[in-house]
Amino acid sequence: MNVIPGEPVGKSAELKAGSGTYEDGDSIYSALVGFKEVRSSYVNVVPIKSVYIPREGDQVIGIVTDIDQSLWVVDVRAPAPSVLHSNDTPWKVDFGDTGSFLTIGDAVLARIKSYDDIGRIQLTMSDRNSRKISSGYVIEIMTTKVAKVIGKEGAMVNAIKKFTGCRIFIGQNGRVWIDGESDGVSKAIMAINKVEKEDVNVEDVEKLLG
Amino acid sequence: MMDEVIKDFDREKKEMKLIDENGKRIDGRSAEELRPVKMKVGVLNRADGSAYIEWGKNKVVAAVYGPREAQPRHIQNPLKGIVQARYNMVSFSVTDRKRPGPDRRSIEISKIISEALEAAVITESFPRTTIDVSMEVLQADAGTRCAGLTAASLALADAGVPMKDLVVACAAGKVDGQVVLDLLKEEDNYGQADLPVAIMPKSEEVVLLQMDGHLTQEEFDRALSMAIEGCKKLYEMQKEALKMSVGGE
Amino acid sequence: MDIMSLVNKDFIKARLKEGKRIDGRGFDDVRDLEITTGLIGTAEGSALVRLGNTRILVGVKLAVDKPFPDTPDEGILITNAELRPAASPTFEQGPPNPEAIEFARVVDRGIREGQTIDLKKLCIAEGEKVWVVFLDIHVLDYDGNLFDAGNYGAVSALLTAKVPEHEGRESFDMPVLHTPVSCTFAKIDSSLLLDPGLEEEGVADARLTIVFDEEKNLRAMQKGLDGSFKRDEIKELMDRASRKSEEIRKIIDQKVKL
Repeated sequence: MNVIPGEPVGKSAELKAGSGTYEDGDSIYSALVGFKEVRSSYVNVVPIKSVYIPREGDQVIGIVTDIDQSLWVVDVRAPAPSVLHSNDTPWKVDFGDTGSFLTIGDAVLARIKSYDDIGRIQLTMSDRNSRKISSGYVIEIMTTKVAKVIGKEGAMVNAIKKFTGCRIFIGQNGRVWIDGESDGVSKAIMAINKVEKEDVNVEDVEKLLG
Repeated sequence: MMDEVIKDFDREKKEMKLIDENGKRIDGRSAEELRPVKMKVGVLNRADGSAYIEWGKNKVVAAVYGPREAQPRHIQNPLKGIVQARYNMVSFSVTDRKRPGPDRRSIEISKIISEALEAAVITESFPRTTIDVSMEVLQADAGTRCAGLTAASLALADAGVPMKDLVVACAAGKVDGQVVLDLLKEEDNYGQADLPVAIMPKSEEVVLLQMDGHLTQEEFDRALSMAIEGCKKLYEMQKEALKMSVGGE
Repeated sequence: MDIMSLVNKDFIKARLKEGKRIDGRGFDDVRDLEITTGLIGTAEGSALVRLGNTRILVGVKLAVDKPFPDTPDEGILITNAELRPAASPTFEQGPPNPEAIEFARVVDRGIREGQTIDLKKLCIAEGEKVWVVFLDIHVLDYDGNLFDAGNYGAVSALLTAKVPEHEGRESFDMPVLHTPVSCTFAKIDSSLLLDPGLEEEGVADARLTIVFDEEKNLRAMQKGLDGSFKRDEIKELMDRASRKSEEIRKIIDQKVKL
């Protein structure tokens, strides 16, 4: 069932207010345009569209927008810029030498280290999957369509990978990195845009690319 | 010269009957009738959320960006986000071309609309950020602030900004001595009072209220009830526009 | 600047070396162009232009005023452009910045030097009263190449504008002499692309706008950005613009006449 802000989604006596909802008096209301869902004892509203809200541990694709002596400012499409400190990278970065590792406009695969109560976001690249992106193409999709592009157990993205020969990485923040032969990359971009915006299943995509 | 013109205008005003003997207004509406309204959500490509409204001859588009980092930093609130609404009349939206850029009127309207929206947006979720709301009046025929605010609230919902409720606005006023709903341009120009009101429909709490002209306390009570009834009708249209945008998924 | 252009710069350039644009268009392909006129009742002429995902609303307003002393028998054209924050996350509130002013002036030059309007017919009383034509360009959605969208909108709004009645003189159609059409190219390395999209604009080294009239005479040009053009590149773009402007004029004529 789809709901809009201010619509009742449950009673406080029966359910707990989950994400996308708020409690007022003895009722729970939706705060978003989306779909109501009840999971265990929580009622949530899954939004149709949303800004990216960072969660600790999320894998994201960030873009460097500023450099300081010992840190980088990185855009992750969140409500605030994030900070990547030189200690949180796999590199040994001397003070003031940040620019020789990452510069403005560089994209990185990184993880959300923290998102605190006053809206500050910290990133880390100290894990095996994190790295600088130095080839291919990055596109943006709606954050609420990330799961659809990945597909059930990765079925959708795997089909696109198979038919285009590309490596594809989908960040939780709705940025998608596609790398490979340029014709394949172009095909993958087209396919991902289609999956994001249209009602298509894995077979449709295979037909489109096959 | 000048006093001639003023006399002429006064005569025109007196001669202009805005409500006829059958209680019909110049566009054929009854006292409690709204002008035709159409709303559509998600009309712009670049904005995070957007909506378009046609309300009588008013045409307004609203766009939302954010929540995003508030700049310059001194406007940031470490405990909550801020809503910055900008109401703008396009130069060709009125009969006599309006000089582009903000004037005192549009700055005042922007301020009260920002405050009205802030009452509904759950700003505590996004400290230090701004939610920017633009309202562009493409064609104006009285009631643009109500149309703008009603569209702005749809654009916020479309952007996925968390809100306690939508915000919906409608004016009532006094024309030819009668309290009527939703004044059009001639009624606004030659009527006796205008009362724009915005509410959060769930609680019916008032988040915007202005009045200018001349009303008795009884007339005010009646006008306020009428405006709120108008808001409720518009709220049903807002709901429908949002549910349409969700589609049958 | 659009940060996605920065990230994707290398790929866009590598793709161009293979002769391919990122959205699959040919180098001389214009994005889908839609024009709707007469949407704004308070304006004497109006046109909503959609060029790809770029959307621009142009309005024409007329007012009576004194002529300039050096052109006592001619109407006056005033062009203004607004890059409002609704259209892009990078547009800011405030008075027109240099980008908006350049944009308005380039559109103005095409219309003015292209003698789109027969300004002599807009004289009411020589030396005393003439029509002032306000051409206001309002960007609603920014996805690259404002200059061309602005030109198509301005031409379409003027072609459908009416001069209102004034002191017993009847209303008449805007007197239009020519339809100058603008073609803007972006230069990325050695590739020259017509109608650059947002990401292409973000990567472009230089930009060249060429405005041709229907007799294939040049009416306005503007080179932009900090890169440069070789003389033979300018010659090549002149040929391409001359050909393409004719095609685009046909589209405008068709949309406006419907």
